[in-house]
Amino acid sequence: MNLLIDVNIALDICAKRQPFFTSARDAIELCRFQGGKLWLYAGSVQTLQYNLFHELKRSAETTLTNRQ
Amino acid sequence: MQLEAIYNSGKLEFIQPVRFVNEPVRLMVLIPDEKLFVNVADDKQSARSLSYKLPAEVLAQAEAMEKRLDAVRNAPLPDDNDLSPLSSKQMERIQAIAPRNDIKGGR
Repeated sequence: MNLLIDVNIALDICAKRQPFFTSARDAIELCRFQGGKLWLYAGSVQTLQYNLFHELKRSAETTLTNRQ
Repeated sequence: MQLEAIYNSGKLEFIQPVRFVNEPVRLMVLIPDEKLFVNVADDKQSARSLSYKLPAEVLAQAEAMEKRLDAVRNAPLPDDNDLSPLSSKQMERIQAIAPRNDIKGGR
């Protein structure tokens, strides 16, 4: 089983977005376990970087707000 | 009465022909655990969406990956003094992007 990773799945993994992170994580590990290949469209890297930056920023702000 | 059946591609077929008095009929199906690829997850947040059971090795690898990602995500930022100096090309690109931020700020 080979997987083509959509930007949203990569974001779910990198930013640990719930409730999607666990199933995304499991799908990727199952693919690796079965010897499949993981693919990510190179052209989506800029979109991934942009969205990940904002996702992590929002997550950090939420953490700070919760601590106050 | 217990009857043997074969499940294949979404269909459950009795090995011996069966006739019911009326239909539909609600049945209890006994499935060997080792045959199941589906299960309810323990994670409460994902219990609604997860309906599968991973092999133990895969689950261990998945949890190890999660810990690695958590370590990366929560790692402190490197000290600016430890970063290598910007090259002339990098400075040129930063200066080229700056007007775009000014334009966006003016909208």
